[in-house]
Amino acid sequence: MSGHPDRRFVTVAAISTAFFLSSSFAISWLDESGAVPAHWLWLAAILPIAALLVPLWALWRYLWELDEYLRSIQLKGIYFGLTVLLVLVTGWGYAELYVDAPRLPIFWLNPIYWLAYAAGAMFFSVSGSLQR
Amino acid sequence: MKNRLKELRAARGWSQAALAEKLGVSRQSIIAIETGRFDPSLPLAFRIARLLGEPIESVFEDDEPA
Repeated sequence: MSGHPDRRFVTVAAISTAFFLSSSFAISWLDESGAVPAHWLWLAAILPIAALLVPLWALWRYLWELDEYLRSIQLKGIYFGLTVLLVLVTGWGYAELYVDAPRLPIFWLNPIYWLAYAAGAMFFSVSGSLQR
Repeated sequence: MKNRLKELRAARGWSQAALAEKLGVSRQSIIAIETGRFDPSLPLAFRIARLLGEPIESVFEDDEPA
């Protein structure tokens, strides 16, 4: 795939997100319908992993296509995303243990990370521009 | 690290976008370097100095006391 790195990364991320969501809904539907044997559900349940690995690979490639300044912004965004994720899951874990907080399904960690990363990358990009 | 990139670029009549294109980096990078928000790597600093035809120490200056 050729073109601008930003466009290429956004395209891959959008397609993999659509695949992640559709495969997640498909698994849920297959489970409720009882249309497939249980061992096929195991196989179907790991399908979204592909949708997780593809954007991670695309992000890695994107990082090395950027120049060093833009790469530093993306790395800050990645660090911010991981910080949000670790703080959230640790805090939520303790809340589940000690104050009966509702259970947080772990598949939410994937979208939470990507949203936090996107917010962090946008923040560092905009805050850099504001200091001109 | 202080630098004279803005001054040296302006003396040549180059826009930020033109300099970015000559160096193969983004315009945001040039803005960040000129405003002192980002210190380029040594290879990029050498590329900048070479493009401007200046010694690297005339473009970039260490602001740490000796």
